[in-house]
Amino acid sequence: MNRMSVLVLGIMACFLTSWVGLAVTPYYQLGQLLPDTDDATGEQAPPGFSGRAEQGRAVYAANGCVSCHTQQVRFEGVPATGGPDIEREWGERSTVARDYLRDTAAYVGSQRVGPDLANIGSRKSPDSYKYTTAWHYQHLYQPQVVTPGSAMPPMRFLFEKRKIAGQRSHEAVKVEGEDAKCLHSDEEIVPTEQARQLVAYLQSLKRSSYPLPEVPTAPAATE
Amino acid sequence: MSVIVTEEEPVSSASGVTPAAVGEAATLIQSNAAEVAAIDRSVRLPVLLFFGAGLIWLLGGSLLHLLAAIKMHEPRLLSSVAFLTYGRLWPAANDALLYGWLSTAGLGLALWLAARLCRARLRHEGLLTVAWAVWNAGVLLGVLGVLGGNSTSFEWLEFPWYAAVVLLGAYAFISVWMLLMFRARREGNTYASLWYLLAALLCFPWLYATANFFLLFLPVQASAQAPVNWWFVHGFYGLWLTPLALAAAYYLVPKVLGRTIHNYPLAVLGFWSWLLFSGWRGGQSLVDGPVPVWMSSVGIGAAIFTIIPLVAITNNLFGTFRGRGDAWGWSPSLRFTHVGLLCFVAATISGILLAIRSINRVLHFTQMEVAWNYLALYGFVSMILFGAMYYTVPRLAGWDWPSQNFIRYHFWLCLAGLGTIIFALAMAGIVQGYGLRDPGVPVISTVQMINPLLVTRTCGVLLLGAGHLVFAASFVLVLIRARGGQPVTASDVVGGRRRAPAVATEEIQPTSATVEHAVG
Repeated sequence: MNRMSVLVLGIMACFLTSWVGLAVTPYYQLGQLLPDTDDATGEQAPPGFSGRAEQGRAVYAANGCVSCHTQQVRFEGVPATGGPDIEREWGERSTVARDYLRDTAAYVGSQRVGPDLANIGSRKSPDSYKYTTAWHYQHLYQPQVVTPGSAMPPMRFLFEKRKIAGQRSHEAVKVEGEDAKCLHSDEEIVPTEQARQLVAYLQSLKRSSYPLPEVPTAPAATE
Repeated sequence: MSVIVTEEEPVSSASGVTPAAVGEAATLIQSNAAEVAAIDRSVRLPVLLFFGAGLIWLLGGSLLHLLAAIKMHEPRLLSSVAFLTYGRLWPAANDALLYGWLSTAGLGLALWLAARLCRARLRHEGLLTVAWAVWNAGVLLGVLGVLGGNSTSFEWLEFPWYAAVVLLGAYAFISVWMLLMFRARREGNTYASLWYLLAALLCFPWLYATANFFLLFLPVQASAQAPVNWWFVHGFYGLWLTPLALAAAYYLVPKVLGRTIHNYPLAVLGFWSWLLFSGWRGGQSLVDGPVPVWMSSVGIGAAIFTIIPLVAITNNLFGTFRGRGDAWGWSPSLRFTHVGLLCFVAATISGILLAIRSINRVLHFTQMEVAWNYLALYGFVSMILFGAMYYTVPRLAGWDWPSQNFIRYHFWLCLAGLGTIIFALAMAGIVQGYGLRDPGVPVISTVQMINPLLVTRTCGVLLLGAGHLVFAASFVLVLIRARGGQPVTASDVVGGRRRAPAVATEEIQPTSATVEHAVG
């Protein structure tokens, strides 16, 4: 190992293996996937994002939501239809590479301080208010009121306080608890354009609400 | 196998040791002191600048870390300030640590090691300060970009594209000097330290350019982004930071102890196997994730195989330490390096465990991963950087550390802080992991359960930050006193409990600081 050339070439060769394996191979194996077309209806899966949702993706990225939220449903078992993620109803099936086909950037994440958001747009709750646009606004504005004990930072900077001009805005955030006391009766909290974009993005996250041939769906969900 | 030598004696090769096996200890011995002093003097300005800037980033990053840690349990604090929201603070703090502290100080270390190992003097070091300024401007742009809402939200790659361009440009500039030094190399042999140094210097630009190219400049389809991102994260740790730290350890341990490295063939094995396996570990962070199963399987396999380099590297370095526990008492650089290497062992073993599928299913996505980051980045890489700085700074500045107590406080504050943080986050990870495994436990309960542990972690971050502050103060004092221009004498350094012979072996040697001062 005294020849510099041997050393340099050896290092490059070692590096090259993983470069080919984990940077170039994904490009060919996953980077050129095509949407799945339903023969009967001609609909394509996964569906695309609206322009506003795409702008919301940028808001999601800018504020580092990925620091605490994943966007992937993990599978377990053979066939892979079980596991706690499925039981928590974070998705009817696990997410696969093709589910991210329409994203400009995929934030699969590595921390679950909060719940997974892969399917936040299609999540159901017995409480009809939950997961509505108004709920999202309130949750972003005062997460500790919506979910007592939440570790989520209130995203106050995505909202603005203003005097009610004539009629109350239909988008005005339902402010409760301590925060309501700080609000005069002639004031309201309304979402900024960024908040609207972010909520549009969240509501379009429906990563496993359509079938794909390469992934089995949980038996319970097909009933 | 080990040959004990003193700094001034030529190494006898009669012991049957191959020339290459004569460890880093030999480099200086064979040279005359004046030449080494000249080499050190030629790199002093850029190396001290890189170290100094690194320390500023360390302090700034620690502040951001502290704020982020507090916000984990006090989420409503400063919630109307956009640039201080947790999702911006946390990546900014991490990137300040990764690019600002570890990489910047690492580059300073690389310059010094390259000069020493190649026995080459650095020329046009004034121009190099321009590259230094550009590099730091790049980090500043990146951190401000993340805080300002331009984060890419890719793990460890949050810096916006313009910061990445500046960093790559500065790196290209710096690597010209490295290249010139390697070309001027006069030694016939290469040392383990040099292999690692070369590996780090070659891998970083390739890694960083590829990841930025594939994820930001010309993004691949999103379905292919996760594997690239995780390949980068594991590569950044395994092929950039780790080789830098190991280069320092392989240089300093034999050198300070006046020994040769314990087992040369094992060093070769350790080097190549580490290089090969750590590049392939990316998939371990995508177990059961939205990628083909082979990727996570290969990642887990590669992680398990790192047991081979782990055994080879630690056998070598701890073998060189063997029987010299006394070094803890008199050599701060060895004390820090030793703890760093212990953390390397712990991080590698726990890294393997966290990769194993059944464990990964419980502990991935939890604070355990954050605890691992602290162990690997602060415990291993950062501690070894401190160790290397304890050795180099007095030699470059021509002045010894102002106070043994400062060194002691730095050491124990770091250990206490890291211990507290890692304990708290590992516990939190286990609680969180089993909570999230049980669909009956709401996610909010897992957060409430770990709340006291997150408070404990904040205390740890405070202790760690205090340790960093003490070290930065020491560093500044050395520079201020060195400017005073009084010669270093033995009496300046025989402080604390340090014994006389130790002084000759470690902190101030006639070979560097004093001679340098006499010359300069």
